Amino acid sequence: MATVKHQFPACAFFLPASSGAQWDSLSGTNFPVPALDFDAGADEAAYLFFKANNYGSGNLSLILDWYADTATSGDIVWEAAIAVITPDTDSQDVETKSFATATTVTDSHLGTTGQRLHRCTVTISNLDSLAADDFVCLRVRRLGTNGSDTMSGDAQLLLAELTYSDT
Amino acid sequence: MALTTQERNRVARQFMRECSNRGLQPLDVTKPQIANAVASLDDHMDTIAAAINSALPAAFRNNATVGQKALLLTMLQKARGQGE
Repeated sequence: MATVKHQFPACAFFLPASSGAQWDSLSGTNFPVPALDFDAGADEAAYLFFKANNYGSGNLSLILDWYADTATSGDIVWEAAIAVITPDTDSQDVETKSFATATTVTDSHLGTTGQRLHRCTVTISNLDSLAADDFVCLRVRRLGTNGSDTMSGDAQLLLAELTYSDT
Repeated sequence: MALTTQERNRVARQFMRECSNRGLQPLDVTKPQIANAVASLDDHMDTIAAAINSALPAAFRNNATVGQKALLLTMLQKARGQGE
């Protein structure tokens, strides 16, 4: 039994025509910081595409590494959902495929340093009949309009990691 | 007249965006605190509108439009806060 891991830097995401996060490449003191900026006052999305290599069973864990642009406190609500198609089996139109029910996690700014790096995990339990080697579209959103999302300013997503069991 | 809820929300979003664009950070307030500040100031603007108008010299007060007076007030406030 092993854990399969897919890692996605900010540049691996695709953005929608509307209500999407914004690309950003910040000039850090010693290295550039490529990120996706998620607005505080809207629900903005970014998308990943991958093949569920060696998927066995169980929930997916989406681990998000992010930091706050300006805030030093408050909570943020992240949401994830998947849309799954089995090639050569499903007759579903790719361009009209819908997502399974999303799941959320609320993470809290830890304070002390404003732009410190945070890590949280969204457990994706609505799997849309996921099977090994399926085509998967993964949607990540910040729910800035959610009443529990109190953190001011942008959330800057640096890295996402998706893990699951191969048995 | 006070802003609508939608307008206040837009101001709050613009405020957060400007703080980021201008490097005015850290921003050690939450979204609810910003919303409360926008609402309080907006309500207070109604309260002091007559006093602000009275402070203007008669010629400007009588000949400038409401929009022009609001613009002047905005520019003054912006200039006074320019140090940060």
